[in-house]
This record gives sequence, structure tokens and C-alpha cells, in this order.
Amino acid sequence: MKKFEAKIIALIFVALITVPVIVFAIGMRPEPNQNRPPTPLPEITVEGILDRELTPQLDQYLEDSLIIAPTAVAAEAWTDVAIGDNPNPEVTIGTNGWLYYTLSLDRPCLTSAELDTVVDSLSRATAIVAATGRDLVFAVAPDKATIIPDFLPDDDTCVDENALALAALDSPDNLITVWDEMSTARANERPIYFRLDTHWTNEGAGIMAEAIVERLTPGGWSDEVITETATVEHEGDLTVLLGLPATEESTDLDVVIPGSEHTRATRPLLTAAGTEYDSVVAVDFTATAPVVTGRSLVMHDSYGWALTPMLAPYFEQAAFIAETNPAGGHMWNDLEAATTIIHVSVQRSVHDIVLGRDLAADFLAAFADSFQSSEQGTRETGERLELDTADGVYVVVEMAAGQETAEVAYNDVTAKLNADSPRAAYYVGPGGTMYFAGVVDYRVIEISS
Amino acid sequence: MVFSSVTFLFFFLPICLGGYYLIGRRLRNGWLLLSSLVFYTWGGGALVLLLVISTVVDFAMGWIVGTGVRTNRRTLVRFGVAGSVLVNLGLLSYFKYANFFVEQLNSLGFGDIAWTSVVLPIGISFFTFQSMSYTIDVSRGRVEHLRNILDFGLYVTLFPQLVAGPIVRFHEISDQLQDRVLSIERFASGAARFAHGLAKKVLIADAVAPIADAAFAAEAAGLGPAGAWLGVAAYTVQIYFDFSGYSDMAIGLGTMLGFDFPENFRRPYSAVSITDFWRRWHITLSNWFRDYVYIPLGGSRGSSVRTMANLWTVFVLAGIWHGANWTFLLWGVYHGGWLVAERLTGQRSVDGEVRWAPLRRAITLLAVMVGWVVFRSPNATFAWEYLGAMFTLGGITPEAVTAAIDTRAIVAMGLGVASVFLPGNLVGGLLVTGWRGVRGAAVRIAEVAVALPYVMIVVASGSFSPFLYYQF
Repeated sequence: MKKFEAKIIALIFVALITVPVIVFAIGMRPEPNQNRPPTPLPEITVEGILDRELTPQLDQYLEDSLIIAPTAVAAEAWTDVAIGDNPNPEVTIGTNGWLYYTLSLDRPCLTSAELDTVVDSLSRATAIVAATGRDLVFAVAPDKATIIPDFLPDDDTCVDENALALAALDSPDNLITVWDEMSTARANERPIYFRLDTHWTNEGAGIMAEAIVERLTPGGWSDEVITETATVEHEGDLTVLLGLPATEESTDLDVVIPGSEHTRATRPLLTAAGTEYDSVVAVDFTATAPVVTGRSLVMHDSYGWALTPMLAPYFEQAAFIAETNPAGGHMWNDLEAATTIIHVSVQRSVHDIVLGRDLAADFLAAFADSFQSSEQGTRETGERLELDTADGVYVVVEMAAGQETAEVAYNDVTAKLNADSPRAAYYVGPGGTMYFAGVVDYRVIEISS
Repeated sequence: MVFSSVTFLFFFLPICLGGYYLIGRRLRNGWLLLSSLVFYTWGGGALVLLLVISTVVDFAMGWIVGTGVRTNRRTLVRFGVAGSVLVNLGLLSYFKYANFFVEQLNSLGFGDIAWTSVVLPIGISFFTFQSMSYTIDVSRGRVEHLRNILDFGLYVTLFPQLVAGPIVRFHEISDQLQDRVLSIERFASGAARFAHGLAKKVLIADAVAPIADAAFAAEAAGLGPAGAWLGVAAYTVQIYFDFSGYSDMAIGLGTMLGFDFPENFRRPYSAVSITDFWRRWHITLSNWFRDYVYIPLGGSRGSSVRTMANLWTVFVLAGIWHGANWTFLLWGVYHGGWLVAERLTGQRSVDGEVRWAPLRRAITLLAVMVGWVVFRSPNATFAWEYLGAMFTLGGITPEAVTAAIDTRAIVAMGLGVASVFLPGNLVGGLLVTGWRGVRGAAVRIAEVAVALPYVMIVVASGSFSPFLYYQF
């Protein structure tokens, strides 16, 4: 090798491997690009190193601190797209620049038995909440692919079939599906979903807001009060998942009801033990000239973010909480205070929320103190509860006083009880057996649907 | 710590190389030893103590052996060699095979032996073999024993080849522990070789790995021939580019640090016989077994029956060396059987100058691929069913296998298959360091200026794992 060649190679090599570490040493860090905070530098201890627990954290810290990481991710994703590969199978690349969230496409088709279970679970949940004197409304947001299937790469999904099945459920009073309204809006070329994002726009969410308001106060909705607040560049969450962050132009909407004054405040939630819950907060709204009176609670998934500005101004008092499970102790105070409960989730979540776990039992866990029990007792580790009950009763289990954790298992579903969520409930059939770890109080509650 | 990680590439390597070149000559061995211990501890944690203990024991045994050789006291020599072999094979047996042994005893009904699984220390197969080569080389008078334990510690722990070879026999490197040549030409040559190996590993081996993983994770009984062949072809490419890529990186790093490590691969898939294959595949392991097992057993000096028994013994041991599983034993028996058969039939050609070379290459590659099925399978039953799937009709190609075939995988497979037919030593890396003239210079500069930055991008992007905040 000639000296000149060697100098070129050595110079390039040294530059490539030393520049990133020098940049790191002087404290420069990349902009976060992963929807999560960068890993902090862990506390370095000899024990941690010898136990091999520390080095994976250090690896993660160094990876997150590498100045070229975001550029590298974008370059790799760009290369993948250029050669026809998909940088992230969680995103389905459609035609005309449309992106879809793969999880919303690969749900299995709902069987008639599963649909029956959905109907049964929702009607039981409605009965439980109604028995406490409250109104319960389920709002199911259509998946993007249900309303805009035109740009899907193939039609081998059950999205449409599942949507039709859900829309056809014979529980029209408290189940709101806006398939027809959204389809009409789509046919009129209204921008109801983002092209690069999983979610609906304010305009799409407004269609659901209208349906909810009309359900609670017929004739209460008005298109006239919708105003455009700003034209923004919205970063598509699916582009972030792909590693190619990109924006699209979007119009933010708001609802301004004439003569009504509004307040908005963020409030921490408290666990059942009275400590501050650190994962989710409540956003409280009030209006002086409301359309929907009383106190409402809107429990929602990420589809609730675009819905909030379109819906909140209609309520006299409302708490919006990004949580779809009512069983957690941090939800109990708001559930207790509400006269109307609105449960908002996207179509694909019906699998998880209604079929994956029993939403009715989750509501009962929250409202258990409002019901009389027909039988109660205590079980300890290793003991069982043989359920010689009639079909269709509930068993509410609660960690006994003085316990820090406990577990209860029934039909392969295990509830982990702790200070935040000390209570769970099961809808049980005859002849089942419940298993316990820790000291747990139980009570049997009978509620007719 | 693996070479193709952010921690190694962007942090450990520049700090290690920077320190090595900036500090004085007399401190370099100490710096390298410290770097190597950090390198091992990063992945091995407290198991580094095992490496230290092994080093101290072998250094002491080497001293005893060296004293015995110098004073012509054979008892000391025998004691030292026996001590070294016992300690190293003892460590290897306990940490690598004890779990398997107890599992077999329990499954055979010899009682229910209570046993806490032993964690396998990284690279134990390599550093124990290197340590033994030291005492044996000293006992044979090929080299003198070392006076400085830091030098010996450096030989055992030297990070480029500590966890995956090449296995450097002591006499191959003993001079370099004291006296190494550093130059910009050597540094550049090593850098090009390192970039070459990293590209092989990241761009080819890692790209085809999902296909092999999917095929070997499937139910072998229901696998169709297309999926089975695709899986084993992908694994054939993966294991070669992964292992030889690692060896290229190790040799390149060694060159940058002033060491000359032995070559480990020489276009093995172009071999014209299994005998030829083993002179091209993991050459340093073959050499180790030849020097320290085959020749002491008598080699080919005895009767032909004895020679074949020696051959088969070596390959059974080499099979077990790869791991504690019946599949590795079977793989060793299989290759040993081929070597014996070639010896019996006079077909152990090793040169390119043979008749029907393309046909011989094809048959050899097919035999090697059948061996890889056994090697990669989780158990012998799976291997048997997988081989059945390769050679019978019916079955299906699992969706996971077809899903793993993307453009990168296709290109990588194409390069992998082409490597069998490419001229010279392109894939072996010798071209990178040995090719003269403008074309050689262009290749080397391209490796560092084009391939290396791209591989660094792939490595840096590998940790991307966004949190699905909307997936409630």
C-alpha cells in the first residue's frame, strides 16, 4: 500500500470513528426522535457492572446520545423505501402517499360469537352504570382504513367487515358509530383523516362530537359554532414510526359557543391510596352556557385528543381523561362524580377492551360499593373460591387492609392488585374456581342485565 | 460487546485506538490489557474474574513448564502441561457442558439431580484453547515462557480475537507481544480490512438472517422443500459472512494495533472436497486440533485404520467444541465421516487443479449445507425432519419465511451465492489487503469511504424503537 493511499484511508477512518465521540464529549446530543424521552445516564456502580444489569442501560444511553442517530434512522428508512422495502412493518405504506397503522388492518374478522360477546358486554356495562343512576355512552371511532380504504395496498383485511358488524349491533341507544356520517364526509372530500397519521383530524372528530352531543341533548349541536383557529404543519405519527418524520398541512378547529365562558385546567389524579397518579392527568372543562348539563366524564384513547376541542365546550362540567379502563383506582373519584360517562375508543380496540378484558366487570370494580353483595368472605394464599353460583353473577375481589400486593386468577385472567388498583371484578359462570395469592376479600354481586 | 454495536464502533474503538497511539510505547500493552478487560466485562460482568483466574493459573503453569524445559526436568514439564490442560478443560467442561450433562442424566432416569444452570462465559472456548496452546508451545520448546504476566494477560484477553477468534496459537504471536510495528500503512490496511468485515456482517449476514431464523423456527414436519432450501441457503450465507466477517474485523483490528493474526477463511464454499473445505473453513481451529490433538494422537503415522480413527476423533471433538448439544456431536461425526470416506476412496482433493471441479464444488457445497442443517437445528429430531422436508415434496413455505424476503435479503443472498463463483479472494478479504495497483487502492478506499459510513448508518439506526404512545 502506498503512503498516499494509506493517508487517505487512515484519515477517513479516524474521522468517521472519532467525530461522533468528540461531539458526545463536548455535550452535544441529538433531538429526540422516538416518541419517548432519551435514556438518562444510569448510576454507575461496581455491582451493576458485575451483575451485567448496568451495561444494557449504558448501551441504550449511548445509542440515544449518538449525534448521528436520527440522521441514520432517516437515511436507513429512506433507503428502505427507495428499494421497495418497508422500514417498519407496523406501518403499512399505501398508495398516493397514504400511510396506515398495520395493527388496525391485521385484526381477525369478528365471529358472530364474538359479536354476541360484544353486545353482551356492552349491555351488561350499561346495566351496571345505569343501576348507579348514571348514563353510559360508547363512542367507537372508525379506523382510518374503514372510511378510506382506497389507498390500501391490498384488501385482505377485515377492517370493513368488522366495521359493518359493529355498526349493525342492535344497541343503538348507547353505542355511537359514525360510519355512515364519516363515509358521507369522505365522499364530499372533507379532510377527516390525516394522510400521514393514524388519527382523525378535528374535522373528522367533529362528526363524532356531533353524534355524542345529539345523543345527550337532541338538537344541541350546531355547525355554526365551529371556527378555524390555525393552519398548522401536523407531524404524522406514522412517519415517525417509519423513521422518516414528515408533516402535512392541516386546519385546527375549535368550538366557540356564543355567550358561554369556558375554563380549562389540568388536574392530577389520585390513586385509591390517595397518592398522586403519575401516568395520566385529568383535564377539566367548564362552560357558563352549556348544552349538556351536569358533570360528564370522557374516558378516551388517543382518538380523544382531536375530539376534545370539538366536544368539551358543550359540557357544563367535564373531565377528559386519557384512560379507557375504569377499574384503576385513579379513575374512581371521577367516575363517582360523573352523571354521564362517555367511553371513546377506536374500532380496533374493541378487540382488546371488550373482548380481551370484560369492560362490564371493570365498571363494576369501580362502582362496587354501590351494590349489595349476596355473599362475602376472605381468602388467603393457596386458598380457592369454588364458584357454586348461578350463571351471570359478579365476584368483586379487593386486597385486604394491610396488604401491599395480591393476585387473583380466574379462567386464565390474573388481576394484580396493588395500592393504586386494589380491586377487580369478574363476571363468572357456575362451577369455576378462583385462585388467590395474598389476603383478598371477596363479595358476590348479582346484577340483572 | 459486539463489533457491530454503537458502543463498540462509536465509543470503545476510538477511545481504545486513540489511547493506544497517544500513550508511550511502554504503556501500550497495559492499555490494551485494560481495554480488553473492559471489553470483556461489558458483556461478561463478573465472569471476567474467570478470565483473570484462568490467566493467572496458566501463567504460573507456563512458568513451571518453562523452568522444567530450561532445567530439563520432565516432571515439571508434565506437571505444568497437565495442570494447564486440566484447569482449562475443567473450566470448559463445567461452564459449557455441565448443564447439558445434568439434563441428559435427568432425562435418562438417573434421578432428579437438583441443578442451578451455569451461565456460559463469553468466548470461553477460545480463550481456554489459546491458554493451553501457550503451555504446550512452551513445553515443546517452540517458545520461551513469558516473564511478565501483563504480556501473557494481553495474549489471552486481546479483545479483537477474544470472543470469536481467530484462535491464535502462542508461537504465532509471541514475538509481537514485545515488539510490534506500527505504521500508517498497517493502520490503513487494518482499517480497510475491518470495514470489509463489518460490511460482510451487517450488510449480508444480518440481512439474510431473518430468512434462516424463520425457516428454522417453523414446524419442520410441515415445511415444504422451497422453504426448507431457502432457509438452509440463507443460513449457509449467514454463517459464513457472519463468522468470516468477524474474523476480518479481528484481523483488521489486530493489524491496526500492530499484530499479525492468522487467516481464518479462504473461500470455503469453493472447496472441491470436505477435506478441502476444512483447509478453508475456520482454519485456526483446524490448525489447533491438528497441532494439539491429531498429531499427539499419532496423526497419519500409524495404520490407515488408526489414522481414520484419529481423524474421526478430532472431528467429534471439534463438533462438541461448538456447543453442548447432540446436534454438534452429530455434525462432527458427519464431517469426520466425510473425511474418512474421502480418504478411503482417494477423493480428498484439495487443489483447484482437479477434474470435474465445478461438479465437485457443487457436491461439496451440498454436503456442507446438509451439515449446516444439523448444526443449526435445535435437536436431532428437528434436523431429521428438516432434511426430510428438503428432499421430499409437500408441505408449505411458512408465511414468516416469505415475509422475511425483502429487497435487502435478496441482494444479500445474491452476493452470498455469487461469492462461491467470484474470482480471487474477494469475500475472504485478502483482496482488500493484498491486491496491488490502482484497482486495489480503489477497492480499499471504497471500503472505508463508502461501505464503512453506510454500515455505520445501519448500526446507528439499529436501536430505533419508537414507543407506540397511541397503542392503549
